[in-house]
Amino acid sequence: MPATNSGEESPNTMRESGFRGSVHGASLADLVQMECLSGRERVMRVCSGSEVGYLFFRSGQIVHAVSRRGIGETAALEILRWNDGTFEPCSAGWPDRDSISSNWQNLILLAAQHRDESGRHNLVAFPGARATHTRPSAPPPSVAPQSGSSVTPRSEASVTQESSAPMLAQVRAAVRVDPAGNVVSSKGEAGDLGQVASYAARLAELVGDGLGMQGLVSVEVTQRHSRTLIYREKTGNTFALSAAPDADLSQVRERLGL
Amino acid sequence: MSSGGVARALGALRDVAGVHGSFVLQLSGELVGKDLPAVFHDELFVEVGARLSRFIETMASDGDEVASAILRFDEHRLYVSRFAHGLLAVIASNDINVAALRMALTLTTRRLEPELVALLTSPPPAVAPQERQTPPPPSMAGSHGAPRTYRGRVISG
Repeated sequence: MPATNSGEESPNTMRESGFRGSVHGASLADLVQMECLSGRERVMRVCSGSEVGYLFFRSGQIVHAVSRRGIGETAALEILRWNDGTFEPCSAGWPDRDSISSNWQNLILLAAQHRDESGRHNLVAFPGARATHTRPSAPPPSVAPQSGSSVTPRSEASVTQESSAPMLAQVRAAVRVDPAGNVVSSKGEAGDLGQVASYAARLAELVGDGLGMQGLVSVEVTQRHSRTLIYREKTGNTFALSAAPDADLSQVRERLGL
Repeated sequence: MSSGGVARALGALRDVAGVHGSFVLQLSGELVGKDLPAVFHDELFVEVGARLSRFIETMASDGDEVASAILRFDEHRLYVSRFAHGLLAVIASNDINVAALRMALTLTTRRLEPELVALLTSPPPAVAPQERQTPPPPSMAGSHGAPRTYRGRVISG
């Protein structure tokens, strides 16, 4: 994705002092990282094909984003998933209040996660297995570590078609929701599964707190006509799947280390 | 209701290794009985019960009734079994024998169900009528045997 700051700017492109140039072959994640590290306050317009989006940077973070389909984290994730295009400063108006609270590392991580998953047609991605149930007693952080520390994406193992075709046939829907309640990815007829999973996980967490049980790992519910598995990922995201009542979720449990 | 019956039913769950204790709620979340260390005092279950009830309600929000749930935490699990008139919750360790616990849960809910029905259908405890502490307001005096008045004057009949 070229980062342009040349004479081809559109009318509302910002003109400011300093070097101008273009970088070819860079990923949008690289450009965002550069912009964040500079710590400047400015708006960058991202164009990809017919799509246009705006990323608002301040104090080393993306604090607001706008695309044709939405604003805030949803827009940022959409823009960060684009593969090709241009990235240039512009003079778009700032909002009254910031719409993004996650840090930029987390946004890039989520966007990469989603891009990976959307490439796996017909597959549902499940979080990697845990070696143990042991977690720190504090609740999982809702955001990735701050700049300077390493961001280690949790390994995400997809269920291969060969090993899990029967199980996948029984999975009706799956959804991943971030700590702010935004749907990061979904498969099948997820409906309000994201909302149900988010609220149910929170209630389960509170019930656990009340009884002195820390660190919610998962919730599994057997209903008359379905089975629901809700899983808290290390990133703070909530992953949920709905399956047929007779579904054998042992493979999923195994992968999650449950 | 027989609190002894509930306590006996819950106590039997401890036969399964890894069970730390259990409690029974009405579907509305009110505590019916518990078999837990004293540190789990009754007041604690006002919130826990209400939240667990809301949890079950949330999962059934699409009309698909919940039969059971497992809440897994770092070191413990909470098994919740819904029966006709209540919720049975068991606190257990992660390495519990799930098959044995399921059987025990089935038997326990079978024993608890009549206890819950008895609780829900029993009449409220009789309350002795209280003597009136304050005199009736003047405008109502006539209906209680006191002299009847009209515009401040006592009238006969």
